Amino acid sequence: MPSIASSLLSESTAEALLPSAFRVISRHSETPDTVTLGLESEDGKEVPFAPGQFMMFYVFGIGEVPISISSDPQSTGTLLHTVRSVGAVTKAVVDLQIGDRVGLRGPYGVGWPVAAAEGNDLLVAAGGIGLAPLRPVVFDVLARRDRFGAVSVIYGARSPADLLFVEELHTWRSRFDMEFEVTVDRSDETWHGDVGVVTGLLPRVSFDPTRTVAMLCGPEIMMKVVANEVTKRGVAPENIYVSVERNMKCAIGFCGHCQFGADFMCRNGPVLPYSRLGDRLRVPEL
Amino acid sequence: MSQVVVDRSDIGVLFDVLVSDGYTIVGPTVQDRAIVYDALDGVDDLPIGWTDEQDGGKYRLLPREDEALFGYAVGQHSWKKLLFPPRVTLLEVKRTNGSLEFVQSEVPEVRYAFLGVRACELAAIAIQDRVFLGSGPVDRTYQTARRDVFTIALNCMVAGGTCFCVSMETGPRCTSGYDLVLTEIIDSDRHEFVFEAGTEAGEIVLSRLQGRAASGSDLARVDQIVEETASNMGRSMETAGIKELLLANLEHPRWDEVAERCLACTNCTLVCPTCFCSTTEDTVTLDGNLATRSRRWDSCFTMDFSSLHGVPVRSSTRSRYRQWMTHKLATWFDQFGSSGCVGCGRCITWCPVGIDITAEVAAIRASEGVVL
Amino acid sequence: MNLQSMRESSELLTRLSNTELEFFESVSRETHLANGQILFEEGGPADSFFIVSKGKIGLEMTSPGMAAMVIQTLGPGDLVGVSCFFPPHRWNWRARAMEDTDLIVFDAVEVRRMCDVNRDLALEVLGVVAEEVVRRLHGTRIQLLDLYRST
Repeated sequence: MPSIASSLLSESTAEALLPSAFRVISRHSETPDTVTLGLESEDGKEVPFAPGQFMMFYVFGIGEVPISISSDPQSTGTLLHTVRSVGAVTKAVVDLQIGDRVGLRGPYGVGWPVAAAEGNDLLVAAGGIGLAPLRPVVFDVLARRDRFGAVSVIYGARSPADLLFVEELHTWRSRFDMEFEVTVDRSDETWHGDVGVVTGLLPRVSFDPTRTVAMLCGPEIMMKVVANEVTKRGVAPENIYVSVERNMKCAIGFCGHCQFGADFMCRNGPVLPYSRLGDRLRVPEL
Repeated sequence: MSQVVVDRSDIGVLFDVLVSDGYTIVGPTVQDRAIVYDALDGVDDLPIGWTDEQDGGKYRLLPREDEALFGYAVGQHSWKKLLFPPRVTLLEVKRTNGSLEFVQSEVPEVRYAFLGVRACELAAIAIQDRVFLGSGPVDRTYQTARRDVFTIALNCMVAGGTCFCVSMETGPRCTSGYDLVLTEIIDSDRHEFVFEAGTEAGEIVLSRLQGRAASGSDLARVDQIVEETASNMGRSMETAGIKELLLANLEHPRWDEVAERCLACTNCTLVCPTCFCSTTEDTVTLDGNLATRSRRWDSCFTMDFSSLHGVPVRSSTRSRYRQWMTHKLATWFDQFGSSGCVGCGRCITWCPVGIDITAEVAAIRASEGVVL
Repeated sequence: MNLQSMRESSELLTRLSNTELEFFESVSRETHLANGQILFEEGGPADSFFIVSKGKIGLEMTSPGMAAMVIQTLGPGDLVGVSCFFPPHRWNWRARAMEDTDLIVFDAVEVRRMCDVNRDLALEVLGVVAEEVVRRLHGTRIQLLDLYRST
């Protein structure tokens, strides 16, 4: 079982910066601008990872971009990456077809403290594409369900058309050993679910704040708002974890791009306890 | 460790010994009206008889009244250009029928002798050692150059107009991290160099130079020179509690004030001997079958540096200046256990508008806790 | 009807003293809506307010040539119909059951009358309503930020 510490496969930066060849073996359009790609190593190697870790994803001649792993940690042969087209590299990634070759290196980063959450209630709160790095947590937890207390997942999306992992959501919704609630910011004619901000789902799920570990991922404002609400309900800031995104070039703590205060998001993050960064999130442009 | 005095007329032997040992000697030389670091062929390549005048946004070479070899302060280059080169090829990607092959690039074997490394520069190299050779993967380019370098340190006889090594406790005396250290003594009746070995390798080179054992008065003269340099610092910075001071004042109005002057030109990060930020660049050949990835120097002052999904996190010049200064003087402690600043003054000299990091700290200290 | 069991899930009922709760009980009754049934129409007289005990109510706006847009859903414990506390006492939105829903209906005319006489109760009730309105405003503003869109 991989530890949550950064998994550095080599001694030198030159080796650490060298991607391995991977092939796209599956492609699923989640929404008009987001796809989930399945990738396998050309050398047949397995890539163990911890939920919340990311790979540096290289598209030939265009560049590299950090992308969270969104697959089940138990299946290390195929890696799933859920990618939204927001720039030159991610657009190229979203356009990839089955059979295309890419370069991957990693996994990097400190992931979600799933093992540390054992014996507690778990609250997972996702906003938009933030569900992608949290999905491995849900897989992980359900694989050893008896080790956790109440498990609740709340998910806010822009609209019904922007929901990710629709099949998965149906499965989660129908399980009796977890609570799953979803809401959208704006509705359409097909939607009979909740409409409103994701914090509105908190009263719908049950967790004991005195023994809850909360894992939040989504736009920074969303994470702040949910963290505040969850703190008001009595969850201690050191038990609230957020995933902070920053520009990354090397992913191994050298290039300096991902710094957020004293922390390098690629090495000390991207998952950080809220108690450690509360103040930093309030300073604009830090 | 041996202490040997070498006469000016015999200093060329140092060059001969190093060249015969296979070193490329890199040291100060005049180029484009500044004193830079470049490969030296011989003693005559040194800035003989030159000194510099430095202040905020100002650098001038001026002739000295004597023929000192090392009578000036630092220029815009630092030793990082050799240990952490501005551009390095990292890897190549060959594409054949869609398949990708990733090939690591060779690290060039180099054998440098650094001549004239000041105390502040020794401190800067030690800081970059922690960055590139500390925890995590090791930078092979840095490691290769660093492993074989022969360091000849220099006790400064001139304090620069923007120097503040005394405040940063990094100089002007060289205390460790060198194979040899030299101090130039130039009076009306003598022109000599007092050498002291710092390592076994230094001892061996020293034994091949022509000189005499240093006397008590030679060493006293060295002390005197160092003390004089220490008392002539161009700047000073109060460093007590500086990390807490800056991190408690992230919204201080002074940041707005300096942002009005700062051009975000990145000069300070280019000349700073400890700045280490880099970026990666990918290029492809015209036939589309070979891609190359290189690493090149980058700066937190660029608009692009903190770009997230196309929008910079640090959009304003204010936030970027704050990032640079708080990283250099505050969060560097959390990351590497020391300040990132060695007091060399380059950022002050080479800032086109003369922004002075020591004045910025003093301004915040004078009015800390000010809230608009 | 007896409202003790609803106390835990409703902010308003939690804040009331036992005596005040008795009064509210005296002006309340239960009602049930099937999925899709309208609770109240936009512009109608706001003479009641509601607390959802089970199910989901959607607040929606209609416009010619446009399907009804749900802008907020309210669930168990939530207060529906805050407009009844403020002039002109008219509904700003249409409310419709999104699934089979049980509600407690309160006579707003009686509550308003009691609040005119009992200023302490008025302060209590309007305090809870104001907090709820601020909470919804905050949530709406977050929704407006459209955080999940591509930049």
